[in-house]
Amino acid sequence: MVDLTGFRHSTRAATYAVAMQILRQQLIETDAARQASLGIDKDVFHRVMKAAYLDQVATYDMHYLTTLVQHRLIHWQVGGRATAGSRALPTAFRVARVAAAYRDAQGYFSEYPCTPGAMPRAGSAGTGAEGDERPLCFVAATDRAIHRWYVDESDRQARWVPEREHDGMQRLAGFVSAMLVLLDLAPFIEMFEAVVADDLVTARVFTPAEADMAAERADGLFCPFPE
Amino acid sequence: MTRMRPRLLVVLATVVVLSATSRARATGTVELERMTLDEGNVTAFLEATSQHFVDAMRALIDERYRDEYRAIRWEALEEAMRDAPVARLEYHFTLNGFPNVRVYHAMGGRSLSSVARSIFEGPTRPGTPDSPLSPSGSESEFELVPNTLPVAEEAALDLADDRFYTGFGEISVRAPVRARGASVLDAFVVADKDRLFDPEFKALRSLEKDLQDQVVPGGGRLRGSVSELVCTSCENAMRRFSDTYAIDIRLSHLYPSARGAGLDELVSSGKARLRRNLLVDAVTDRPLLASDLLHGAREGQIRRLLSPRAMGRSFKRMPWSRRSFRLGPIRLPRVSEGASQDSPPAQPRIPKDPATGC
Repeated sequence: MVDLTGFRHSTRAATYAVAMQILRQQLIETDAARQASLGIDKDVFHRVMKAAYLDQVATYDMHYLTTLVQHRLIHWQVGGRATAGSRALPTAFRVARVAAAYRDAQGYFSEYPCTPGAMPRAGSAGTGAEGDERPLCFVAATDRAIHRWYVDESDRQARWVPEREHDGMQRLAGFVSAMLVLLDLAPFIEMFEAVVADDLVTARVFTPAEADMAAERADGLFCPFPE
Repeated sequence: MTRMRPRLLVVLATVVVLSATSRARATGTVELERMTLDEGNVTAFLEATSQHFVDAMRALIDERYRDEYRAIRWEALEEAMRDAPVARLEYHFTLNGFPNVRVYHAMGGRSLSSVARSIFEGPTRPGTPDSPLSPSGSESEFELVPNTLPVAEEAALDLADDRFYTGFGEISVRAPVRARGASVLDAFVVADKDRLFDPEFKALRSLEKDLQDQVVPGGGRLRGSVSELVCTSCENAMRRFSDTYAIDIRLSHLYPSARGAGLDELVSSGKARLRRNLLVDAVTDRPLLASDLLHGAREGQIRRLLSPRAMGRSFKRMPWSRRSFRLGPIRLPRVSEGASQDSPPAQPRIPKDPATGC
């Protein structure tokens, strides 16, 4: 799902991914003749799998998937088994684990926070404590730690506001205004040159004639005082 | 010629049967399936539908009955919201070559305004008598039948309630009460109950209006579920609807008992057991019947949003959040906690200031 939503919304993608896993499992386990009456919609699964862009996923399909996860978040069924036969994770932890996998898939600017032995790398792995912004080593972290990270991360992603896209005219106007600012700055360069030349004369590095040339360029930028 | 006659008769009979069958297919079919055990996503969808109405009732109470606090009225509210049947019908159709869906959500009974008014403004129900000889108070004059309005007025009230429903949009719509009018759906009054207020009936009327207004095209498929058994008159109305608009209808309705649906087999195999009147999973203790599970889920919705505790109510200066039916001393507020904590509503999470840590 993250290829539809992008990493910017990876926590949302994790929710939809778990919903798709649930729906796929239902399609496998339920007799095709009974699927419609039990509210198991194979068309939703196929439409979402076929979508090339997020815009191609219908609102109905999004609502459908959200409802599947929402129900399981509220009514966790104890004693369930995952497809591999191991103990099934509560849905909240399952969503958080998928989001963590997406975070790992995104890569890190700095060092990877886990060692090849799936242990937190000292110095680069975060502790999950408040104020520690370093990434967690997810493969070694507990479900609760990952869930805490997930809550913060989904909150951060929800608050993100995309930058406004500018059209051609707006970009041109921005360029022109930047150039005007540069033109305004040019006289200050001339003045600075004149002051530096004066200092160099004092230090006997420049001759007075060379300093006058620099001062003349600066004088031309100002209106003379009326006599 | 005499040899050909029986063959001709067979061919003619086949043609007649085929033509009759093809005409029947063109008019649509109605299939109703009883659901006993919780399977698939039916409970999840009906729970989501119920949440819309609980949210709307909360908005209505916040606006009109914020200062009401009598416990006996809240009990009536909980019962009304929990026991009203709900229906969720999905109409699948094709428009401009693309598949589309429109979902109709309905809750049985009168409009929320009417329900709230009869609960908060009408007489309270009779209290439990202390002894058989205890005198009955004025509350015993409570009439179980709420004040009823004509259908047209009820429909107008229901439409006015639209502003309390914020979760609906273009795809998910609410099916309100509709006054009798140009419709192939005839509602009957059975045992003093007007079937016009049944949730499946409301949903069908809304779909019919959309078909008549050409909001959606005909010839689609209707899928969905109802939280109680569909009445016979509604079933007949569905058949007329299906025939008129050439729509295939397939609904699941919840049957609140596992009798005759493998109850004995489930219990004898050790997979299930009976806890009071609930059939529960032998290992997880979770209700196995779809209707029981939905009932519990709706109770939870009401507890979270409509209970006096959730609304920050106080009763005799004691906040509901501190009331307990456990035997034991009630925890009194410490002096350091201040005296003005008698009605703490649910507070939103406020992020800490990283500078001060507060």
